[in-house]
Amino acid sequence: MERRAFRGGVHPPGHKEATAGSPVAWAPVPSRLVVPLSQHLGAPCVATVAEGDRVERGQVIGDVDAMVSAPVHSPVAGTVAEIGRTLTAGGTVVGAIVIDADEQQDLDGFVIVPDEGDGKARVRAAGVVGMGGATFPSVVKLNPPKGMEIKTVILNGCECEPFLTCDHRLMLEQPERVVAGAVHIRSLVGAGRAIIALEENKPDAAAALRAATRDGVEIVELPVRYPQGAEKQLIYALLKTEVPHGKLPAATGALVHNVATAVAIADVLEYGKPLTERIVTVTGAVGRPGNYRVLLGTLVSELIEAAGGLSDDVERVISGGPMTGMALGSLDVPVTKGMSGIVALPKGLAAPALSDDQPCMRCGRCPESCPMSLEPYAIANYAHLAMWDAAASRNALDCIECGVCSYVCPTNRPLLQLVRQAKSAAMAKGVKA
Amino acid sequence: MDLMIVLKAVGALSLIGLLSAALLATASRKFHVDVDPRIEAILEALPGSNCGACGNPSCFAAAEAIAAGEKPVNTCVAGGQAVADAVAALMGEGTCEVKAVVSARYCGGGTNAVRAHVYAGVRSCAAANRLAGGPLACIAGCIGYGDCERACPFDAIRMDERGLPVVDLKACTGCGICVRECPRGSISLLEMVPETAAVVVRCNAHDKVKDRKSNCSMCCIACKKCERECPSDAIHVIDMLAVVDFDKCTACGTCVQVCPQRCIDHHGRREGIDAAASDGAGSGESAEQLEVGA
Repeated sequence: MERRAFRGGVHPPGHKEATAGSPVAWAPVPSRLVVPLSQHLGAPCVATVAEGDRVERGQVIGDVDAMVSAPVHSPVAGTVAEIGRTLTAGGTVVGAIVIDADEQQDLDGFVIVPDEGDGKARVRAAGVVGMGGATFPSVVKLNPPKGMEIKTVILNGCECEPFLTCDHRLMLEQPERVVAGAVHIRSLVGAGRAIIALEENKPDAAAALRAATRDGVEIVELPVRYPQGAEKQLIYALLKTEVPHGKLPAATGALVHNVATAVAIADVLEYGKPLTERIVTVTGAVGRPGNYRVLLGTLVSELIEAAGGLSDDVERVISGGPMTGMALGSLDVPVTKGMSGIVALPKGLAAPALSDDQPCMRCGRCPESCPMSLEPYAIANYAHLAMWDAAASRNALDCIECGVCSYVCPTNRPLLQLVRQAKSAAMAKGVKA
Repeated sequence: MDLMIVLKAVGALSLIGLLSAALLATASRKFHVDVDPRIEAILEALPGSNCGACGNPSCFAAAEAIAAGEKPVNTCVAGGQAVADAVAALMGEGTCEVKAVVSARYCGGGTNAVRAHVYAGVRSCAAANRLAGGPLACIAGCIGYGDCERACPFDAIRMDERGLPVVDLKACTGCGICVRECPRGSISLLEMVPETAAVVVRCNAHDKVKDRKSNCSMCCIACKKCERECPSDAIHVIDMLAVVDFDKCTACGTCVQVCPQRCIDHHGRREGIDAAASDGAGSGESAEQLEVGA
C-alpha cells in the first residue's frame, strides 16, 4: 500500500534533476534595479527616499506603519533614479523605487538592522516575509493571538512543487544556518520542539541537516506527495492534528515557517542582515538552468539572460512552481521576496490552454484528490451558476488553492479558478471561514 | 345490511368535521395576523420581476418595506415614474418625481483594444478581472465576457460582434444591476445616465494619454476638440478625459462629428432616431443617422 502522510494529493513528475545538483551562484548585479514597494501580503510601503538620493546596501527605502507589512531595503549601493510604478509577476501594478547601482558593489557588506533588544521587532525591521511564496510578514506569525501557545516550530523544507530546488540547495549548502533558524524561532516563540521537515527525494539534504543539527532540532523525512509543503497538510503529517475549520494553524500549537525564511531570521538576529536577496531556481527551457542568489529588484528578463536565455520552444514562463505559480505576461517584472523560481515550460510540458469551460463528467477524481476533503466539482458548478451562498456552504473558504483539482481533472475544467471566485464572493459576503 | 352502521359512520365523520371546523375557526381568530391590505395592492403595482435593484430580495419584500414606511414610494428603480405614481397613490402621498436613468457603456474598446495577455480560463469578466485585471492592456476597458448580459433581468443587454455590451434602451429600466455586476465597476465602465442623455464618451481610461493610445485605438486623447466646438459649453475635458454635462447638452451632435478618435457616440431616446439602433450602430456610423433623422 502507498504510504501517505495526509489525505489526497497527487504525484506530479518532479523535473528537479536539472538544477538539484547545481550549487547556488550569485546572479550578476544589474545596472538598474526596480524594487517594488509591495513585496508582501498587507499594506504597501511608502518610499522613504527621494529621487536623486544616495542609498547604501541594506538601507530602508520603503516602510509603513501598519501591523501586517514589511519594510523594503535597498539591495545595492547606488542612486535613486526614479520613484514610479512597475508591473509585478502577479500582474498588478505597484509603486516601485528604481535604483541605479554603483559599478563597484560589496555584496558582503550591508547596513546593519539596529538591535533594540526585541528580536521580533528586529525581524520586522529586516523586512522578513514568508519566502515559500505566500510573502506573509513573518513577524505576524511570530506573535500568535492571545490564548494560543506555540508548542512546536516546523521548518518547511518539503519543496513539493515540481522543478524548484532553491530550498533543497539551501538545506544542502547551509544546513547549519537552517538549524540556527529553527533554534532562533523556537526561542522567539518559546516553543519546546523544533522540526525540520523535508521530502524523501532529498536524501543528501537530509544527511547534511542530520550532521548539522544541534539543541534537539529534529529532522523528519516525509513521503513525496504534492502538496506535502502546504501548511495544514504538513502539520497533519507531522503531528497528526488537523487545523480546525476556520482557525489559524497556531490553534494546533504549531508554527510553520519556510526554511529560507528561517535562514533570513537567523541572519537578521545574528548578523543584523536585512532581506535584500533570495535564491531563485531558474529552470526549464533555459541555457544554463541553476539556482541563483538574486538581488531583489532584478528584472526576470535579466535573470533569464544570466541563465543563458530562453530556448526557442518556450511556450510559457511561470513565476514560482508550475502548480501554484503565475504565468508571466511580461518578463520585465522584478524578482520579489516570494519568487522561488522561474520555470520556462517548453511546448508539450505546459498545461493545455483552456478554451472554454468544459462539462464535468462526474469521474470523482477531484474530491478523491483534494487534500482538504472538499468537493471542487460542486463548488465550481455553483460558482458557474453564480450561486455563491451554495458554494460557500460547501466550505469553499477551506480551499488552500493547491491546484490539485485542476491538475487531475480529465476535461481540464478551470476548477481552481472557479473555486477562487467562490472564495472571494464568500469573503465579500462576510461568511465566516 | 345494517343501516345503523352506515348512519354511525356518517355521524362520526360529520362530528369530526364539525369539531375540526370549530378548531380551525378559533385558531384563525386567535392567531390572526394583521396584514396591511396595501402590501397586496403595492405588489400589484410593482413590476414583479424580482430584479433586486432596489436592494430588497423580491418585489414582495419591497412592497412590505414601502407599506411599513421604511422605503420611499419611488423605491422601485426599474418601474420608473409610472410605478412610483401608482405606489404614491396607494400610499396616499403626492406624486414623487423619478429621475429616469438608463445604462450607458463608457468604452469603445472591444476589437479595437490591444490585448496584453492571453487569457484562457472561465469565460466571466469577474474571473478574468481577478487575474491581473484581465487580458486587455487597458485597465479600464471592457473585458467582453458578458457578465452584464447574464445579469440583466430585463434582457436589455446583448454582446455584439465587437465584444462590447449594447444596451437596448427600449428594454432598459435603469435598475443599475449591470453597473453593479461589472467588475470594472469601480472605474465605471457601465454607468447610469439620465434618460435624456444624447451623447456619451465611450472611454473611461484615467491613465496617461500616451498609454491609452498604445492600449486602444478608440480612446479619448484629451485633444479638447469637442470642448472647443461645442456650441453649448456642455462637454469638458476633466482629468484628461471628456465629460458630458447632460444638463447643458442640446443633442446637436457636433462633438460626435468632430471627435478625431470617434469615441464620442450618440445615445438615448432622441426623437427621430431609433434608440436601440443608435446605440448599436457604433461610433461614426450613427453620426450619419443623426443627420438623416434630424
